[in-house]
This record gives sequence, structure tokens and C-alpha cells, in this order.
Amino acid sequence: MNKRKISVILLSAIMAFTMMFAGTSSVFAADSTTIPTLPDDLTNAPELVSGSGFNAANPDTSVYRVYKLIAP
Amino acid sequence: MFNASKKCLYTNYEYTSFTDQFTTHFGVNAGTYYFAVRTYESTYVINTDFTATTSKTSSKRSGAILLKRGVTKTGTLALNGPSSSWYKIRLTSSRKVKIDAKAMVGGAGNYGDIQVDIYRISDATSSPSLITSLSSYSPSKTLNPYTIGNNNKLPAGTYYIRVTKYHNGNGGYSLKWSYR
Repeated sequence: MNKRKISVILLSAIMAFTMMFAGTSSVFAADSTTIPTLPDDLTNAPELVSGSGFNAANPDTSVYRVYKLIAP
Repeated sequence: MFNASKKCLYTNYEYTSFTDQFTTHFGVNAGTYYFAVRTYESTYVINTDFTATTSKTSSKRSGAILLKRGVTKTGTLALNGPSSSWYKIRLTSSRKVKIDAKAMVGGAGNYGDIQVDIYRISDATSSPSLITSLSSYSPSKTLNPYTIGNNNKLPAGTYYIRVTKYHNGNGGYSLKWSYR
């Protein structure tokens, strides 16, 4: 079976940002710390590709932003 | 973290400060997944790296994968996979043995480890008996299994190594054994 292991690095609030992600990614409101329910339409979810990432603006801390990841 | 059917596989959170960064490891099978991310910071960076593990694995002792001396095998205990992988080594004579186990598991907010157990079957009719157990609390450890009263040597025979999730730990690992 072809398996992959994934490392996810989340780095918060770096001042030296030169670009903020402002695409049409899927976001949805979070009402609590319980497990979120994903929205039906995730066609615009940006894809996390190995070796790269996103600088994300997060003006509304009450919403989740959804990323897609395809493990090869 | 969700699978392609939007079923939640994992959820947690981590406290960070202004310039904190953290890495967490997930073991997954091939497929599509979704990450839902929420932070209390106004900006953040999210990066991913994939690391392939190449070994054939077996979730049953009857299909244990033979480990050759000095050869490193890598494997994955996936979030959405079996809880254990089985390997075996064969000793043709009584020897002192060491097993190097490395783990890439857990990380910020993703708790749990990978446990490595070594079993011996003394004869064809016996049940496996546990001789060494290691919870991989650090990324790299060396196991020195022995049987009592045998000058730290293992008698000739077949030994089984079970790599298993400990407190739902998941991620990657490598195993290599040699004489010591």
C-alpha cells in the first residue's frame, strides 16, 4: 500500500510577510471549539503542495479556512 | 483534518505566541484530505511536506515483514490505517542484538507516540512472549533486547517486532537491527 507521511508546519504572525493569501478559499464560521462541519462546496479550497504553503490573512478569527491536500 | 468524505480524523489546537512555529506529523494513506485551520492571529503561514515511506507493511503477525540485518525499513502508522505493523528478524545463532527505532510522530497539539514491542516464540506451539517494550517518547532510541540468564544474548530463532499506535500516535518510523 502506498503510504505517505505528512508534516504540517503552521507559523503564526511573522512580520516579514511580503504577500498575504487572498484567494477564494472556503471559509466558514466556527461557533465553538467542537469539531467543525465542512461546507458542501470545497471546489475553491486551495491545495497544500509538498514543499510550499500559504501566507494567510486571517481578518476574522472566528472562521475556519479550509485547505485541500492530496497525498500521492 | 478530514478525509475526502469530510469525516473528521483529527482535531486539536495549540497555543502559540507571536512568532512561534511548530511542526506536527500525521500519518496518512494516499488520498485527498482537508485541513480546517483557525487561528487567533491575524496572519499565519501554513506549509506542508510529504515524506514517503516505502516499506510493505503487515497489520498481522502472520504476515510479518522480514527485516534483514543492517537494512533500514520505513513505514507509516496512518491516522486512517491499521493500529499495528508487524516485522520479524531471524537469528541463526545466539547473538547480542540492537534495534534502532526512529519515529516521526506527534508534534504540537498531536499527542501520542509509536510503541515498539519485541516478541519471542520459543517453540512452534508457544504463544509469543513479550521480551522488550519501548514507547517512543523521543524521536530516536536504540533497543537492546535480551533474555534473562543468557549473557544479554538472544537465543537463535525468530523474533517479532510490533510497531503500534500508543495513545493514538500516528506518523512515520524506521527500523534497523544489527549485532552489538
